[in-house]
Amino acid sequence: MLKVHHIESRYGEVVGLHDISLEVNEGEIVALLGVNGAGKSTTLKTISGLLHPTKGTIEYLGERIDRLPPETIVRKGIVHVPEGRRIFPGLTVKENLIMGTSNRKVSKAEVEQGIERVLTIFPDLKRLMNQLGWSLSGGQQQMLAIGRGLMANPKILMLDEPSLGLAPVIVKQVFQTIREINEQGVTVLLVEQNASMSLRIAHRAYLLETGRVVRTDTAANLLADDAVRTTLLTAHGRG
Amino acid sequence: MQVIQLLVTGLAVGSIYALVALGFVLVYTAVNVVNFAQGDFSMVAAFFMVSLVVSAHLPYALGFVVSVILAGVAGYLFQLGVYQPVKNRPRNFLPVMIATVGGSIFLQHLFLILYGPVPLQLPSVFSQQTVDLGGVHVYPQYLLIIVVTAVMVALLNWFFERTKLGKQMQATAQDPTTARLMGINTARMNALTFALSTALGGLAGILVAPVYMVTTTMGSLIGLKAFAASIVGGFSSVKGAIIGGLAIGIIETFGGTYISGAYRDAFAFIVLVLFLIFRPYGLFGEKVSQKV
Repeated sequence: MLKVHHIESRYGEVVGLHDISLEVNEGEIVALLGVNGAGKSTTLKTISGLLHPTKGTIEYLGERIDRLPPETIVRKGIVHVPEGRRIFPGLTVKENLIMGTSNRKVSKAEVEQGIERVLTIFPDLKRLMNQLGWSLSGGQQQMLAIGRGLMANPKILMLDEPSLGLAPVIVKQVFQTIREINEQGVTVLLVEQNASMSLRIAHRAYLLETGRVVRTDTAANLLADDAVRTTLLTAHGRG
Repeated sequence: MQVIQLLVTGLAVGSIYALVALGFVLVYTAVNVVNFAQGDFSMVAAFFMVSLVVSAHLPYALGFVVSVILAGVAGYLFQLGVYQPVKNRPRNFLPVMIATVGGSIFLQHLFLILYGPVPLQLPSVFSQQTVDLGGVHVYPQYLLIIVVTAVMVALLNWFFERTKLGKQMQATAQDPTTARLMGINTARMNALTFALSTALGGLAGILVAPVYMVTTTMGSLIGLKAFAASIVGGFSSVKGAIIGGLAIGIIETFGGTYISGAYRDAFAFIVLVLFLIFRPYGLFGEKVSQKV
């Protein structure tokens, strides 16, 4: 479905990604794991079009997308939920959700339907609908960020550090929800520092180190591997 | 009775400043720069109005609407030619600011070439000089200014609070990167913000033209006072721009009458200096206004 082929990405002069190749198949949850600075977020930014690769190609459903701007890519169904939630602080929860439909023409009925769907996944948002984004807690913001991503009707949902800064009990809920969303047919590309939780819900994973893929395998194999445990799971403890 | 007369005058003059200040604030909150040519679009629209209504004999209302739209179109072209080329410069605040100052000088001289140095007159739509409201004599043009401004503010409020496009413009102002990730065409939103701001400035220019003369420099003073009004209001708040504008209008009207007529134009700037010393974040601004 999505094929990333030997991409290099830069922030000005600084090389963020050296050589990343990965593939996401329909219906999967794929995790990108690695410590801070490994290039996980940069990979997502390059796929969603916020950065353009300086080398390599990105193909989505057989079409090259690595030169397209983000607003075009999101129209194709690749939806990037950025790190740090990035809720619009001055808009209400409902308005934030509606902004998620900006990638296509929608009728009022479709918007209402989308909101209903999000509320079945995140019932807690229901009583917050008219609150402004800045007034939400971290966990509520994360639910809203994922919900807003779902409003875009994604084929691939890319989540960047959805568990960052959340209380452990909320983290569990978030991962549970990601699995539910996947079971509804949405392909998920997940970037996480919390490797153990990610590997429990993912089908496959890529391990990134300083802008390179150093290993890829099924989640079960990686979870069973002691070497992976020591590099990632302890690193997570620090983060 | 004189107090009420002055209050009407102050509110009318203040409405003009408020409309132009709204333009300053909308552009500032959207793209984080001050458009120093904002005032000049009042002049641009006033000249269009003179051409359409006095020279081409279009009906007043039609000329009015067309001139406001043309001011918006001029603002769209302005952002295309002046803002877009420099917006991606590093530390873009300064290059953009200088570019808008240059754009202001360009506009004034363009209209000097087109219309000449002699001030033109735009008649009021009202034939009477004053109307009598229970013993209070007021200029009907002043009442028109207040009513049109109030309607415009209500329309803007509806647009920003009730329409998806309005919300998308707000979302773009609050977090442009995330707005792009949602599929919002932020370049188009910013262009629209410029057009809306200059249309508001144009509206102010046409409303105030029958009170003053139409000259190529009429926008400078209006722009400066509206800038002062924006600072008083906090520069990032729509409510602040309106209240700041009205406050400046009322202060200069009363100050010009009771303190010194010669210093009428100075009061706005005295207020500005006082605010910059004692309350630089304005009436409604946040204390920490620096964006990350």
